[in-house]
This record gives sequence, structure tokens and C-alpha cells, in this order.
Amino acid sequence: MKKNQQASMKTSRHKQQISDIVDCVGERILDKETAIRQVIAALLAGGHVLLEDRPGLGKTTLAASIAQVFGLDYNRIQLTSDMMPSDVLGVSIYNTETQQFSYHKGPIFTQFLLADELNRATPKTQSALLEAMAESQVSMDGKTYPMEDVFFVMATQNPIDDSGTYALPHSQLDRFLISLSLGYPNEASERQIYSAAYLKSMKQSLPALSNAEQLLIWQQAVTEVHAADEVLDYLQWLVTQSRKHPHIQQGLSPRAGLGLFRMAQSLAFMDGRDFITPDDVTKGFYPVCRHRLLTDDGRLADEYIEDMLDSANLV
Amino acid sequence: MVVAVLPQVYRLPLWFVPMMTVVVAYRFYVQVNHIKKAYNLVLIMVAVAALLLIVYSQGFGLSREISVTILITMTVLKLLETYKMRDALLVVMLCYFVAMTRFLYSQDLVLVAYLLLSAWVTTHALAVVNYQHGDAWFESGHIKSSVGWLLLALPFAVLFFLAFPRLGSPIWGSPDIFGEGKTGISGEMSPGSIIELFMDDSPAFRVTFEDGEQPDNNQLYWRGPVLTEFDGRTWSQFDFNRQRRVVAFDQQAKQISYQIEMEPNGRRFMFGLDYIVQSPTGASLSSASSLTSMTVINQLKHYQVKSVLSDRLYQNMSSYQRNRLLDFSDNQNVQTQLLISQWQAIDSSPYGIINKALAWFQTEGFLYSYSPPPLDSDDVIDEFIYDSKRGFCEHFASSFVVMMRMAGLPARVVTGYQGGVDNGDYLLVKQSDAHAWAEVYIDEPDHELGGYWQRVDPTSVVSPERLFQGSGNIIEQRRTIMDFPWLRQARENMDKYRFRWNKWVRDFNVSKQQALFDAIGIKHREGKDLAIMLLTILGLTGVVIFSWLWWRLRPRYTDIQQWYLRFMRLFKKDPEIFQMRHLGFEAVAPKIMTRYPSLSEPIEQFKQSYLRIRYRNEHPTAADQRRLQHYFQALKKAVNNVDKASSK
Repeated sequence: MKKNQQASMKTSRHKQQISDIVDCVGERILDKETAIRQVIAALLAGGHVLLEDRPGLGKTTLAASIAQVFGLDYNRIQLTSDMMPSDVLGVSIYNTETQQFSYHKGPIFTQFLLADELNRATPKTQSALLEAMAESQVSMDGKTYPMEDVFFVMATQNPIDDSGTYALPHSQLDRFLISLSLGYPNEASERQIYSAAYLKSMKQSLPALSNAEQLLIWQQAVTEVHAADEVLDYLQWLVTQSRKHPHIQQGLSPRAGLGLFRMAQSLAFMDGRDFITPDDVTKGFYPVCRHRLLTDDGRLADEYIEDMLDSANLV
Repeated sequence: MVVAVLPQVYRLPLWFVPMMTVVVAYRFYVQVNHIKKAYNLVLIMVAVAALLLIVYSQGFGLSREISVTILITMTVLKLLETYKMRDALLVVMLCYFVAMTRFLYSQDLVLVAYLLLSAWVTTHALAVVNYQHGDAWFESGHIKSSVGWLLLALPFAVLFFLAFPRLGSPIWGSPDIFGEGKTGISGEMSPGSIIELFMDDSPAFRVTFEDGEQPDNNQLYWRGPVLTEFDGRTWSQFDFNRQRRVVAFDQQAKQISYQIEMEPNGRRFMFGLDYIVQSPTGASLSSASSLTSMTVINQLKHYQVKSVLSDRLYQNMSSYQRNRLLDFSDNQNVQTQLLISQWQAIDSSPYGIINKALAWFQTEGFLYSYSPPPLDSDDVIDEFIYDSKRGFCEHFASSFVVMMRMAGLPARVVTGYQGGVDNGDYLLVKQSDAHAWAEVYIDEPDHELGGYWQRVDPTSVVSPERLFQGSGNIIEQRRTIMDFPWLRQARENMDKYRFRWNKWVRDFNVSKQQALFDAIGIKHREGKDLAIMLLTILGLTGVVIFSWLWWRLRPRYTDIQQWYLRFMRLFKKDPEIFQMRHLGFEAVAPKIMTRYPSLSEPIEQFKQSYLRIRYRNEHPTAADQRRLQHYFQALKKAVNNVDKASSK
């Protein structure tokens, strides 16, 4: 009983901290609390995020804000079609003084990486980045260079119909834990963006409300969030539904299922709970599915995802 | 998919072979080659042609035969246009009907077994059609489940069998339509007619003796039609029925009673041991002491007979009768007439003549044979007595009676059966036991009736084995291609089962049904009441089965789920919220909070407790339960307040 209370004290403390972080970012990115929470959940779950949006909707601002409040090293790569893998991973250069090759780390060696316009890069560069992302290390000249303990990638992508882009293959998309789209803010919020106070605040950086050590502790705590059989049944049911659906090209992979589980744990953790509920799974389902499920004519399967959630029996 | 199923449909049992072969072959051809559907016009023409064919072969009129033929033909033809699921189902269903029509002809045990099999095949086909894939036919699981379905129907079958309102006689038993056709003793006898029966091992009737006392084989003379009129070749009956039967029995002879179960023979003849004392109900005893049924025997008939085991029967005789029984044509069989007059010169007493005649058969090289040479002269008796000397019982009986008449002794032929096979607890009399013997009237002036009938069986002197060991033992070579001793034995064993089947099932008639209802205390026995009762039972069974299924398939809720449902019931009045209940607590709660802001706090409290118990503590403590209960009560109060407020 006492232990329980202690645990709940602890959880309520981090709940407060995280909700402060969400509020803080929310002052920058107006009217997007859900998106902010999802990105932070992915961060806590140790996954990566794919942001798909038109230019100018605050993707970069979101990334920078989150990096700032979590007190993380932040790097940004603007990907272009003439970029080489070495531009991302780093390069070995012959040092004339030591008569040896030495490795110069690329921009990927950071805690928070914003890979802007990922689909502008050539497939070769894309896959180099994504492989490093998945393995948390870079292999170069027979040596492996591990990433930071905290390594979070937020990639942005312009909608695929824009010209001069290389669409990410399905297998690469699966490496992102979640995908989301910010969309336009509502009118009131947008009006606020044009206000003097907001523009003034934009010039200051956000306070660091946390740090990498704290984040690692939280990431560890997320993996310990309890899941009842009943909830796992529901999760399994959803995954199965996605495979059975007649109009969906390809269902969720077990990796995606596991991602959904982590995401649910993370959302529960953010809510101050040490156990997941079906609602966590429901909330995590859409961002996990968004980039993975395509209809048989190649569109996003939003409506079908909605249907699957609606047909569940959670009595 | 349906097409894949169709090949199964053909394996169904149908009896209409000739056309079926063609149709099924065509259907297979279509199946394999994926030919397009035949034109409707062609189908119509085929159907009309089939109808014409039926009318041509069976004539007009609504008879059972024509109805059945049309049903079967059209069922088979239906295959020609079976392309959809619906058609396939229809064909399978029709097969049940086709199978059932067979019962209109016979309800024999073997047939029932066969029809059970075909009912299973049909059910299986129905199941396979529903599985919608062709491989299902031979899967053992599916076969098992079809058997299961059939077994499921068994209690209902028994119930209907016992309780369905029965008619006094089968609806198809109208006088012009018989059972399997006429079999057995025919009321006429000519050379070869008994031999014909001898070839037939099917049962004629079965006898159960009371007290289990079975007389010796040579006493088992099952009396049938008595034949008095002879045209030189064929013996036939003459109706002396109007005469009153005045008889006296042999005082020393033993009296026995027994029960007979007769197979339908399409005639009115009934049989009993010589000599029958009294006619059973539903039958009359002629002056010639043979039994005749009031109605044509088209279904299994049971009757109880009492007989005196004797070879003589005292009876008076009118001069008219005597004249008829002495009649023979003078200008035929002259040689025999001469022979008789020679005997008369030596000893003219009745027994003297009888013994002379029997001695003649015994000593002159006569042979008992079921394949005698044909007799084709005008003087049949002469030819038999002097030339062929080989014959079956009808030859001997016929010749003997004519010889007696020539000697001035009134005589007649009696047809019926002799002997039988002791088949366990009953005696089986087969058609092959058919027999003919003679009766001679001996005057005895001292007796008040003036004389008696003496049974004389000329066959007995030629072939005593026939008499003492039964007809089965005189078979030396195969009567037909399919005649083997083991087969006969098997058929006799089979008949034991058939006997029980008849006893318990086939013979379950109106009176037995009423007896059953009396026994279980149901007094109203009219058809309507029965039907109502039956429907009630059926309905109740259905209710029981469905309740059971409902109980089995009902959703089962854990304690915590019950709490959720209890929570949802608080909002039963709000359909919009109540309809969302399948989405779970967490989807519903925010909705309620926005709708009823005043409930936010109690719901939040309840929610915390509920979620923790449900998704964290698999085994909640009593304290947890109490807390949940507490929050629920608080919430309930709050909801009531909201209701009050809204009603104001």
C-alpha cells in the first residue's frame, strides 16, 4: 500500500513535469496539443517521428522547441537531392600530421536530429540515415561509432505529390514509430501568431525544463508500465483487424504492433499512470498506423482506421 | 464457388436410372468444360418431352406411380439448370422428397436402412453445399458433423413416429393400388405355378405359437384357397361361400392357437393351420375352411387363429356340392380312367382307392422335381401319370384329385404353404414353402354330418423329405443363378431382424398408438388434439434448445465489467451516450463530462478507481472494491441530482 502510494507520488510528479513541458511547447505551437503530446510520447518511447506537412506550418519550430525544453543537443540537416551519405554520417579524412585517417563525425551525431525534407534526399542518402537511426550507430571504415544515449530523429516530409522528391519506401517508413501532420491552426490561434507578444516571444529560446539524464530515466520508466492481458488482447485485435481489412494493402507488422505497445505505455506514463488502458492504445493507434496503412488505391487509410476503432468492443 | 460444390450434388441417391445417367453425365461434362448455360427453350423442350414420355409409359390419371415418376424426373432434370447456390440447395432438398416417396411402396427394414443412408448422404450434401468448397465432401470432420445433424433429428423422428396422428389405413392404400404387387398363392393352380413360388425365398408370413408349442413339420399345413374347378389344366376356385359352414372336429386332436403376421400380398387370402376353428376379426371362414380377409392385404396384417391339428374334418355335403366335386371331363385322360376302373374292380372302398393311388405314385418311379418336363398334351393327367412321371406338388395333387373324382370320391385341391423355418422365436414361412395337396370326402353315415374331409398329400409318398424336413431340404441344385445355401441362411437371419422391425415399427398403427396414449394418460386422441400437442412439444423443444444456446453464447462479464455496465446503466436515459457503451469507459467518460459538467468530478474519481482495478490490479483488494463502491454511490447521487434538475 505504502509502496503504491510512493509510486503514485512519483508518477504524479513526472506527470506534472511532462505536462509543464507540453504547456511550454504549446505556447510556441498554438492549438496543437495532441500533436505535441504524440511527439513527446514517441520521444519517451524511444521512437522516431515522421512529420508530413506543407511548408510553413511549424514543423521546424516544433522540433526546435521540443529540443530546447528537454535540454537536448539539437542538429538540423536540410536534405537535398545532391547530398551524399557522408554529408549526414561524417567522413574519414587523412590527417597529414598523424599520417592516419581520422573520422569526422557528421551532423547525425547529436541527441535531437531534425532531418528536414527527408524525401528530397536520394534513396542512398535516405537509407544511410535511416539505417543509422534504426541501429543507433554508424559503421565507417570497419569501426562502429555509437550514437548518443538519447537519440531522437524527427524527419519532415513534403506531401509526396510535390515535384523532385523520392518517396520513402514502405520498409523505410516502418522505421518511424509514428507519423503525424500538424495542419493549419484554428483561426483564433492563427490570429494570435500575428500578435506582437507572440512574435516577441519567438525570439527567445524556451527554458530547458528537463535534461538528457532525466529523459533516460523516463524512457526506462516507460518500458516498465504495466499492461493487463485485456489491453494486450485489444491491441492484438486491432493489429489483426488491420491485416484482415479488405481495402488495406498491407496490415501492421509485428514491429508496428510493438511500436503501438510502446506508444501506449508512453501515453499512459505521460498521463501519470503505471498501467496502460485501452484508451492509450486507441490514442496511439492512429499515429502508428498513419504512415503504415495505405488503401489499395494508395491513399491514407484514415477512414478505415476510424472504422476499426469504432468496431471494437470494449465493454 | 457454387460451381465447385455442384459435383457433390450428383452423388445423391435417385432411383430413376435411365435418364439420370444421361443427365448426370451431361452435368459433369458441363462442370468440367465450363460450358455456358443451356438455353431456356431447350430446357423447356426437354421437360415437356419428359412429361410426354411419362404419360406415354404410365398413362393419364393421378396415380401414385405417375406422381412419383414426375417428381423424380423433374428433380433429375433440375440438374440441367443448376448453376446457382439456390438451385443446388433446391436439388438437395428435393432429394429428401424423392427418398421419401419410396416409402409409399414399402416400409421394409432393409429399405429403411437404405433410406437412412440416403438421408445421411443428402444431409451431407446439404452441409457440403453450405461449406461452399468442393473438398469438403470427404473431410472426416464434415462427415462426422453430418452424422451429428442426423442424430440430432432422431428424437424428433421418434416423437413424430409415436405421436403423429395416424390414419386407419395408409392414404396410398386405395383398392386399385397394391403394395409391391401380387405375390404368393394366387387362387388358381396350373402345372408350374407352385414351382414359380418355390423359386421365391421372400417371406409369406410369420407365425408365433402361443405357449411356444410348435407342431411337427408334417402337421404344418397352412391352408389357403381351396380349388374345386378343373378345366383340364388349371384349377380354380368356386364360390361355395353362401353355404353355411357346419363342421365337427376330430375329438382326439390337439387344439393350438397362434399369431400370424402376414406380409402384404395384394390379395385377400389368409392362411391358417388345418383345421381352423374360428375366423379372426376382419376375416371370414369359407365353407371350404379357408380364410379370406375383408380387405385386400396391402400392409402388414396380424391375426390370431385357433386350429385343431388334424387331417380330417367332419362336414356335411349337399348333393349339388357333391356333383361339382365329382366333375371331370369324360373324354379326357382315358388311360387314367381305365386305370381307376381296374383299381375299383379290386377294391372299391374309398381308402382302397386312395392307397392304390398313393402306391402308384410310390412304386411307378415318380420323381419329385422342381424342373419337370412341360406337359403340353390335352390329356395332362395321362401324360403325367404314364410318361413324364416327374413333377412338383401341383402335379401330384392335381392328378390325385382327378383320379379320386374318377373313382367317384368327391375331392378338391387345397393350396397353401407347408412347413416353415424355425427362426428363433417364430416360424418363418416363405413363398418357397408353397404347397398343394388334396382332400377327399369320405362318407360316414354313422356320423351326424354324414362324412368327413380327409387330407391326403400325394407329395408325401414321392418325397417324404419335403414333408418332414421342409422345402429347403429338397433343393439339390441351384434353383437360380443367385441361389446359395449361405444366402438362404443369411436371408433367414435377416428375417429375424425384420420380424422385430415389423413388431416395433411397421406395425405401429392407430390402435397401438391409442394404447400408448392411454398408457401415458392422454385421453384426447383426435387428430387435431394430437397435432396441437405435437406442435406444443416441438415448440417447447425449440424454446429449450434456443434458451440453451442463448445461455451458452451469452456474453459473460467479469465483476469489473459488471461495474462498467452498472455505470452505463446510470445513463440509460441518454441514448446518445448509452449507444456508445461498446467503445469502453474511456471513450464515454469525456463525452459525459462535456454533456454534464457537474458530473466531472465524481466521474473522474470513479474513473481513477475503476481503471486501476481493471487494468492494474488483476486481484483487487477488498479496500479497492469498497473505494469503487463508494465512488459509484457518489456518482449515482450526482446523476440523480442532474436528473432532478433537468426534470425541473
